[in-house]
Amino acid sequence: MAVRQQALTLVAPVRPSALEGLSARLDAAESDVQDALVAVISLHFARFVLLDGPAGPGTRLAFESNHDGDLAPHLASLSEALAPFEDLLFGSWEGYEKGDLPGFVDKHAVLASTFYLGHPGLTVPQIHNDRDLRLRLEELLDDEGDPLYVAGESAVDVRARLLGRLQGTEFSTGPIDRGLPVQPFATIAFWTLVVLVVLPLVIVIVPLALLVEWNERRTEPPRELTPEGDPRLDPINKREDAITQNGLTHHVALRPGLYRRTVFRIVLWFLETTRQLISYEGQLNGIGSIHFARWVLLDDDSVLFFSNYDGSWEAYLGDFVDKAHIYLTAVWSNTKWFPDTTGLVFAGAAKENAFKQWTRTFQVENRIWYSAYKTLTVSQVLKNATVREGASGDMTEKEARDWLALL
Amino acid sequence: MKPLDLADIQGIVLFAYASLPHARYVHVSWPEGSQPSTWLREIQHEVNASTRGVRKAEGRVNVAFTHGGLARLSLGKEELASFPRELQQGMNDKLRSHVLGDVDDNAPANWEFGGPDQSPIHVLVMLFAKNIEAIGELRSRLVERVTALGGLVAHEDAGELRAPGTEPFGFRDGIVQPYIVGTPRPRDSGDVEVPAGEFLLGYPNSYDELPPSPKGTDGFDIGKNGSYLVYRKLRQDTSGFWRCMLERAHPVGDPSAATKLASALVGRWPSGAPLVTYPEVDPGPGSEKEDFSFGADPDGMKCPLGAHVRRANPRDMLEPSPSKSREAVAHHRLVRRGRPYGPPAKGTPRERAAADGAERGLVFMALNASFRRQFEFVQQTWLNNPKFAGLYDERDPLVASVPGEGGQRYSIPGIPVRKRHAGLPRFVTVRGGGYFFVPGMRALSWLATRSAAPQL
Repeated sequence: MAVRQQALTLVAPVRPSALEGLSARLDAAESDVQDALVAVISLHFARFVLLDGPAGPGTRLAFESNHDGDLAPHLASLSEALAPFEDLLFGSWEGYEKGDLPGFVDKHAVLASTFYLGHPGLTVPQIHNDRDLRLRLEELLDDEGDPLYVAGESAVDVRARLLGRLQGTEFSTGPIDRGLPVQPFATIAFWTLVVLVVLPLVIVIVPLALLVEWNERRTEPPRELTPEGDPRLDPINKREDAITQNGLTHHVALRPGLYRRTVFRIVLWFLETTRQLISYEGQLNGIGSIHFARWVLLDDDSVLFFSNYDGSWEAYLGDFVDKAHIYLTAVWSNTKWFPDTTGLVFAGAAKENAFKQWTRTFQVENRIWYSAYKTLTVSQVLKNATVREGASGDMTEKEARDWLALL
Repeated sequence: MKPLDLADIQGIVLFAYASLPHARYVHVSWPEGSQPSTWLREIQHEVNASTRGVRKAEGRVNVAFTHGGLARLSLGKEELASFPRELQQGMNDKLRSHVLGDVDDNAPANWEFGGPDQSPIHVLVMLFAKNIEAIGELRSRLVERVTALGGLVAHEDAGELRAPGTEPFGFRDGIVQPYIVGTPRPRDSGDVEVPAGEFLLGYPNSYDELPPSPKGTDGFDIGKNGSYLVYRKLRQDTSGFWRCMLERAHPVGDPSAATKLASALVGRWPSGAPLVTYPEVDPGPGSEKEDFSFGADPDGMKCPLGAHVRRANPRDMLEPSPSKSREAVAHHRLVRRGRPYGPPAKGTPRERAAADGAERGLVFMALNASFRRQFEFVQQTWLNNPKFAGLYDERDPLVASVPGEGGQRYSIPGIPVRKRHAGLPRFVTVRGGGYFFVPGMRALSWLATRSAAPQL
């Protein structure tokens, strides 16, 4: 039975008495909290971040976790691991009752409108197993004192000898059920959805969009984007590129009006529905660097975006512009100060410089951010899984050769 | 296509000055109370634009400014704030070092010049001439006035172009350059056409947008026909490199096996011939300009996945498809203007491996319209990225900054299994550098007269 990866998002106001110096206290606790979270074996990525709220800048505390399986055991495990930090973290929330994280989650969890997963069906222990298995295999191959093969030997023999040296180790090998959609039905369902639902919508939405865009250009006050040397970006930059992945937090208000509110919901509903249907393996429109990402619509009509991605911000945003600008424009053109668009999906995020500046303007510094596998990219998680799948059973010479080439 | 305003573009942006093999790079610092504006007014008519043929015999002069240098020319706060963040911070800034991987031995604190505790560099004067005498004359004419007006020569490098364009490790270099449409010279075969806005402000870039341009409070477009220049002095440990290749060659010490291993790190043979096309033996000169793609070698069996040529220019090899890859790569091109410095290294691998104690390397110079999308991106996402091309923990085997102890890994794919080298040392060390603005000719005189105006 495949284990499903889930998204938990909590956003709630901070108790006024806890506000004083909260961001500095969170920063100071970050590395201890990261250490404590290692015990939560259902946890892939997590973060705590302060958001602007109705009560003023930085007055809401948001938490995300990307976790395996059911919520109840995950929360129990989180509560236990974070017990020493309960007052600082959960206790900063207005209305949080000591020892009752599940009760608080019942009231304050916000459903993600769209949740993207880069390596569905792989649990954290599985990802660790696959990583350690590959490292072991690499070590065996590196051992020149004990060569694995003699020249001219077949790949089947080399593989057999390599796997033989794993005997006595505890690694799990062979394929597992990851609960991936069954093809080609998923693809057929996807296109049916597009034709039946989306085309008629597009016929209505796009002409309306042109009208709304024209009106907004006429009436909206000028944008006030973060300028080039703004020191506000320094702490954000300092946190970036410390490990293989980065955590992007972005929070921006929806543009006013019924059209923007409605279209935003339709677009995210469409993205989520198609995502569930075709659950891409590690690639979202050719972007292969996203472990988990979500859009969440908050009750004050602001849009929260969390992403856990590989590599630099510049590379990630470059991918957005080069490969996914249409989708991102469809989503974010409904929000404040987004670069000018045409017909909802065109221009906007295709304007490289303006889009990057807009993203930086609404980027929020993470206070606490956690990754359960700091050294792995999405493509490595998947490649390690392929190595593990191929580490049991028989193979033809060609299969064995391809498998050895993964190492 | 908007024609290039050649008379307004400094020559260094469009030309490598291949017929002027001798170069001097003079880094000038203008202390408090000195007169950089007067100097600029005096010498601005000496600066060469891209119009051909003028006074070539006497050599060529180009100038560039750091952000601190622009401040010395009395630009206002608002004007200074309109330059890119990277120029404002400078190459020796902590955030830039983090992005560039300038840590440990490469950290600005260990630089020969341009470091945080050294004289701030304000102006870079670039001189090019046919021979040593001519360059000396040029230098004294330009630099004597610097000292007379209170400026200091904080550092000076001499670069020299050598036929046929070989870098100090012994490999052909500078083979492929982006070609800016409208440049008054024919396009070399193999050079890729790139929109002018990738290197010149005031023209559409590869996104068909105008690059952001700094503005004067009087409305003057300071950036127009200007460019941004990266300067990095890279010391190359040529004897260490060849000693390492000979030690790791099979059989150990065999010169041709060592050359083969070195070529596997580079991705080209010493002649410049690409390994993808010539995986077994060096076909010799003449093949370096051939266009090639990595598509036929997806597993790196001919040219290893982490080879320098792949990391510096991944061509068609990036996810998700060859055409998408080429499209993406086009957003990260650099025009390189580097020249080797120090005595030429010559001979067989064994001769090169014998240390002569001389310092040599490359004065790396590159032009771009966006430091972060071009130079820094190549450095961070391709060259120094341990995860490049699906690798686990390897960086560019030639030029990467290797943090910490233990050295660097490098995998050479093979059948039935790869050979992974561990503990490779650092071969290239950053000795100094800076980020500069190369103004257009009109901007240059605006800068010169600007500073004569009463200050706000």
